[in-house]
Amino acid sequence: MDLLYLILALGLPLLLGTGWLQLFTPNSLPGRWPLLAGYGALLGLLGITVLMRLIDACGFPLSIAWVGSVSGILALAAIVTKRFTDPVNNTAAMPDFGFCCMSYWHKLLFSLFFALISLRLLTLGLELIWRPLFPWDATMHWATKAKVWFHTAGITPFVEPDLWLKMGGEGVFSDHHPEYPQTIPLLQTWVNLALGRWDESLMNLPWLLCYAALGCMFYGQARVAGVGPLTALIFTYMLMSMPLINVHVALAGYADLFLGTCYVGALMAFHNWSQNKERWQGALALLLAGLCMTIKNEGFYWFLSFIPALIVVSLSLRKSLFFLLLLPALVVAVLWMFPEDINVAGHSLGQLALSYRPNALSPILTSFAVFDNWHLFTYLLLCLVPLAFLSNFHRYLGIGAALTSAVGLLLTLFLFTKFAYGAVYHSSLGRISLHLVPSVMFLIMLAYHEVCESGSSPDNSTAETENLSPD
Amino acid sequence: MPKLVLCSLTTGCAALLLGAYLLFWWQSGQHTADTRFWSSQQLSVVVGSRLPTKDGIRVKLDAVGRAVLISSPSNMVLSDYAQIHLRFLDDSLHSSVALIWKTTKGGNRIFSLDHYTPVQRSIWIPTSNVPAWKGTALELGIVLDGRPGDELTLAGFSAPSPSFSNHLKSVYFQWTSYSSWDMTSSNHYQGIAATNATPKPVPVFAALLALSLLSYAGLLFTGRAHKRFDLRVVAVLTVACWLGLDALWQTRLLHKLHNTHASFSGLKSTEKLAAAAPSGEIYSFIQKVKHHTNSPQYRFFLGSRGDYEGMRGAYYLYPYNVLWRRYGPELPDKAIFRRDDRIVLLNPSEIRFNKETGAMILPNQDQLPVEVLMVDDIGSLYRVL
Repeated sequence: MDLLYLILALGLPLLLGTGWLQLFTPNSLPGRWPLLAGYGALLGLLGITVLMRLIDACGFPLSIAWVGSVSGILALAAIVTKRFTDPVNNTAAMPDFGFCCMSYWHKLLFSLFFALISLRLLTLGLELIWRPLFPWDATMHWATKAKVWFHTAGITPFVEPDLWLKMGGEGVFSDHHPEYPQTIPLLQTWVNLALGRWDESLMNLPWLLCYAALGCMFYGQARVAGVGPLTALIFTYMLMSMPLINVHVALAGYADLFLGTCYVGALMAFHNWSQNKERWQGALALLLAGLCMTIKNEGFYWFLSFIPALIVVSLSLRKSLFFLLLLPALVVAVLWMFPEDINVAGHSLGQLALSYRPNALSPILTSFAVFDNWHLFTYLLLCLVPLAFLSNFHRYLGIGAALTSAVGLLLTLFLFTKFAYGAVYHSSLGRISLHLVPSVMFLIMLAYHEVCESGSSPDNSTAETENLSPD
Repeated sequence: MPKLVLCSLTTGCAALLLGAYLLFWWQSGQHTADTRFWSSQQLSVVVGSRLPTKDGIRVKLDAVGRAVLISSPSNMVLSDYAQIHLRFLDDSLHSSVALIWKTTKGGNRIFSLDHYTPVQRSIWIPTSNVPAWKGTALELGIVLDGRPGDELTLAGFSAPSPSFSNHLKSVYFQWTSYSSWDMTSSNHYQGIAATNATPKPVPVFAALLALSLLSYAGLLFTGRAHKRFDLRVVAVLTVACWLGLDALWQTRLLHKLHNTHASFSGLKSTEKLAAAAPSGEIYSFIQKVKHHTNSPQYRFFLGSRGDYEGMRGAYYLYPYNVLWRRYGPELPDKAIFRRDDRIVLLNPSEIRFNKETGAMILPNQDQLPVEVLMVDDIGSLYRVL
């Protein structure tokens, strides 16, 4: 019976997200099926948590009956709408991942890398299913809320310890970070509701689904961006094989994997929107960028990184430059005038203690160039991205502006605030970097594709690079 | 193209090995010490008990799960040896080993280095960049930690000569050995078993890639490549190096999976919590607390000086209404408490209970009348009167 409940717990969000997304995506899209599966799973999981909040706000208990019924009805509505609005293309073709046009060796390589990804998924999945909740923060302030909400069948408020004491603990709970967003604990609550009991291991299955979604989204958007199926799959494998990403699946319970997946989903959609101006990509980018803020406090800052990206994409080069030069000045002015005690996304200026911490620079370099957090990612970045910008500056302005802002914010956090200790002791640098590394990997892949395109000649061109057939 | 890739990669590997040897030779200087072996007769079991065995030395861990073996090496200049090599007859998932030593100039001070978890058949402990690994050794030994009563057989204890081949064996161990998940795993992954080990795999594979690319450039420059520059060669070389690095990581993941399977597969969720180390004891204690209390209406105050203990204890107490503060005093002021509140203290704790007065002495020295409900090795439970 557990298997059935788990299929419900994971299948319903997938159905919900995919059902609605397929209404807006063109049928003849390269990489459509992986894209739908990936974005559908992510949106469905995050959507379930939104529904749970709404159900609780309306005064109803959190239960499989309520949450399952509402999400089931919504999923059914999407399927029915699709059936009535697009009956001709209603029966979707089987995905072939562009196999038809690949050479024998390319098919072999494609199968090899697909097998490697599958092996990784299986290894991490078994680790997750067997091991009870393990990581530090997961047991300190994420799953604590899930436990209470599951047992009370409602989103009982968590408050600071001082307030808990003042209120005498009446109707409130407390943990180490009561102000953290609700999405992650609600995901765990949802799975436990489906199972009908508290299960320390199975409640983390959304992390496995998120990991699979990351790969599917990455592959799908790579295909939309014009990357051939084999190249797209190899880069997907490289992304999914990064150790720190794998660790956050095996030792599930942190929010960082979800935030990284959400941000890269938004950024990839944004980039492809900036190239093709397809409205559904723009809407996807906006939706996911906004959802970043519901996962972790840092999501607010990653959301802000889209502002310079929008500026460069929407305005001419001269105007963009003007605004981009104005922006840092504006930021400095805001920081100068902003009251020190007002909290924004979990932090106040006074708490940040802004000043340069030079002892954090070496650990940052070590984390990226010496540790095996991301395999050879840093070296690829240093070689490929400058080449791509040199050959086609304009195409990557938007995504470049977003990532430059985001990386700038990350470096500011670890070099100029009290959180530098997170870099010095390697206690949080890796996890925060996880929010951005998948997005930078997408840029690296685009850079490689750009270098291939600019260097391709009749001798070197292959069918693989020209294959834009739907998957 | 495949021939070009193979040729470039092979040349790159050869260049890397040559470079590694030259670097090793330059760093190790004139160190030419011979390998030192310690036989079972030369090792004393100072903690734990020695059991009869034909091969090596068999020890039984004591009541707290520890055994200590010591040798007294003569005229051993520590800096002459960059590694210590241990051989065990069996792997032991639940045990760890640490190296300890005293020096002639260090007096009674005991230096120690890294716990390797789990114990494996062959363990290479790097010592070359450890600041305290200098001077002449007075005593050298190992500390084994695990489950009380467990038995382990040490088949070999040696300080290998500082040769290139021993260095390569040590690197191979650091890159491929079994290592358990720990609390830092979610924060970073270095690619090696011991945090002081060098070299780490990423710079080595980056160097291999660079040398392979240089070799390809050389083939093009000398005209041996016969064709123009082919980006696919660069791509294949890059992916090959990535695959090499990833193979090490996949191997590690499979080791960890084997460990996890051995520890948890087939168990129900609650059984897993009791089996998990080291939190299993805390979970079992908290279950007793919940069984004793048998009602979610009380407020729970959890006090502990241990970060890990406090965090886990609080987590297991939910969904009861528990207050645990990571920083600051273990417990709040006396005025906060009400009758029937429950106080859980998890060791290590600085809160004391005065049996004569029947009062708990709070951090600000106030006395809080309490009733003792339960006392255990792990902690204690009280009811506020």
